[in-house]
Amino acid sequence: MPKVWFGRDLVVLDGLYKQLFLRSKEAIFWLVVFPTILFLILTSIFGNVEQNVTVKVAIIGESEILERAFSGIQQISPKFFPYSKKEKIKEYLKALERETFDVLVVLPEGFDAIYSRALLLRRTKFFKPVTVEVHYIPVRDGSKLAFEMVRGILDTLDVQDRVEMVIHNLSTRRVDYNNFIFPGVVGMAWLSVYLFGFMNDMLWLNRRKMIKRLSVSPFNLLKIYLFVAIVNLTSLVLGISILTFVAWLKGVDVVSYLPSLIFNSLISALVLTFLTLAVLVFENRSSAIVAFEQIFFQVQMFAGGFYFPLKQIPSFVQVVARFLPITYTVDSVRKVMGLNSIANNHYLVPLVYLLISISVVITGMKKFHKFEG
Amino acid sequence: MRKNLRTVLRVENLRKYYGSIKAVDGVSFIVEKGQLVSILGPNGAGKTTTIEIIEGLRTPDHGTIEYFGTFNTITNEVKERLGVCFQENFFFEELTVLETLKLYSSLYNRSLPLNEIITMFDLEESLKKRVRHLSGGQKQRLAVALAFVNDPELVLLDEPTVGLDPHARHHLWDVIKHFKSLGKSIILTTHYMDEAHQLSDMVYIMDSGKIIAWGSPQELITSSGLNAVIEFPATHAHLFEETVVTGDVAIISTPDAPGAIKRLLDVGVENFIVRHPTLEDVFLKLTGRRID
Repeated sequence: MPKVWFGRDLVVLDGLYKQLFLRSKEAIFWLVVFPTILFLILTSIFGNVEQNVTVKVAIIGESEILERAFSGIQQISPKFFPYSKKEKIKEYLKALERETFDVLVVLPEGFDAIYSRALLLRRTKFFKPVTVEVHYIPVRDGSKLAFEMVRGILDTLDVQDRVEMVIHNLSTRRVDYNNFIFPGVVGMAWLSVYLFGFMNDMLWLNRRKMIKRLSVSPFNLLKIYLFVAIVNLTSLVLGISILTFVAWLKGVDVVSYLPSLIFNSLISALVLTFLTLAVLVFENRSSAIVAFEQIFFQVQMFAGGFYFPLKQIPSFVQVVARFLPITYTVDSVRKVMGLNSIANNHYLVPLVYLLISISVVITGMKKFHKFEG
Repeated sequence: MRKNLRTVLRVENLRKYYGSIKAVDGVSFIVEKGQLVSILGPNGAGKTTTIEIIEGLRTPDHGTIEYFGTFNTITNEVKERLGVCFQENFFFEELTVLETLKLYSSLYNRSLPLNEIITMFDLEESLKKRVRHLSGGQKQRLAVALAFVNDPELVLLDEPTVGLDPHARHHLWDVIKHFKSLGKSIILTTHYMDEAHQLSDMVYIMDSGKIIAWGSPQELITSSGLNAVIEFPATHAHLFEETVVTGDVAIISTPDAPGAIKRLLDVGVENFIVRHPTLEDVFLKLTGRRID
């Protein structure tokens, strides 16, 4: 009697689980444990990284008085913009959310004159305070720091009675570097699992002639590839689960991240699975594959804004980052917390990668099965 | 042409060239039900290439293969009825022997009861061992066992006894004979003459991509015209006209063995061997060199 296909598939899947994951110490360490270790290392080293950076202050309106005041402080990089109407200010606020600035100061038109008049009339009944709007995002360490510096400067002008500061908090969520780095380490886990897990497993199956051995049986090879992908997806889920738990212990708002994290993990898994297969269609020499893995991994990890905001890396590297698919999925996870560097179109580049890779795999998979030599 | 229902494999005029190298050059043979066919030849003769074309791993440049009297290409139905043992062993080394047997059994719709395979191939003691901890001989036994796990009608064994000690080789021969007695057809490639002689119903001798002789082992020896074979030191090779020298040994085949022995003794040669001709002598006569 023919065997039930489902049972057969489970036995094969079980065998692949044991071979490629459960009994592989390397896979367990690199794919499951290492992301968590990396998270702990990074949050320990870079937890206070933003305290020493230069803050960017956008000031709408003109003021020689403030220009002179800001010029004495190296850590502040002020930029004055012409006075705008309320509608235009919305665009500046969006720029603030995108971290183009750390703090936005809106001066009344003719600030210097109003300020001087207030100074002269301060003890008379004609006195009117000057109103200055300050917008910042207190959940961002950089923005909070910038706000404190701006307030300090306004204090030095002795404007306590004369300047009315209207403070706008753009977000109330608590966020710190741990919240920023968490999606970056998740991105690193995606790369590890698919570049060093799935890709190496596929290469191993091919080079150790397991594909050849299995291909003389009637079992569908595509199922084998699917099962290898499932094994790696499982290790990814396990690795990210442990990482998420540890991140939660470290105060990361994992509950807010979770839906986006799951969605972007699936998108990244899909893109990286087909990208891996597409590369293997072109090349299956171990040395070339190892070189590809290392280059893609390092470039994506360090130029892709995983560990530092994209805006803080040199502009030419930012250009490179825009061509890398996982830059977008990591940034998309960060968008939940308003920590994103890219405004929109998070899935365009990954989709292009996916479509090209699928086309290559469909047209060239036979090459991967070629056993003649 | 009437089809013979007993024919499980018919290979006709198979060719496979790699540039100027003729790996397989016009090979034809048939395998009947319950028959063990050996393809005998030195390394590089084209045995493995022929087998891999039959397995569907390589595409022939020319020629046809008919499986089980019905199929002209290697479909899943054909694979279901084929058992395969490669020249090299490929395993999931982190699995135990039992897990490996179960996995390979799951690749097919049909399978023999695993207990039968385990007993037959003497794998009881290593069932819980991971494959990477097995000795070379144990791995080889497992590899051959996997070729029978799907209860195949035709089994392709590519050099299955390479690297085995004499005891393990003879045990494997017994297992192969057992399956043959059950009506399984087997193609065996080997460069061991005694193996081909012991096991085969038909032997195809292959050299440089061609089949240069075929027949039952006895037919091959008889038709070769070889008589008694005498081996003696190569330093006295000049004593006879049709001497073949391989290394330090000179070999002659002669209908007049007493006369040849007398000539050797006359010149003081006493360390010689007289024996019946073997398949190796047939190969030597056909090609002028030993098989290894």
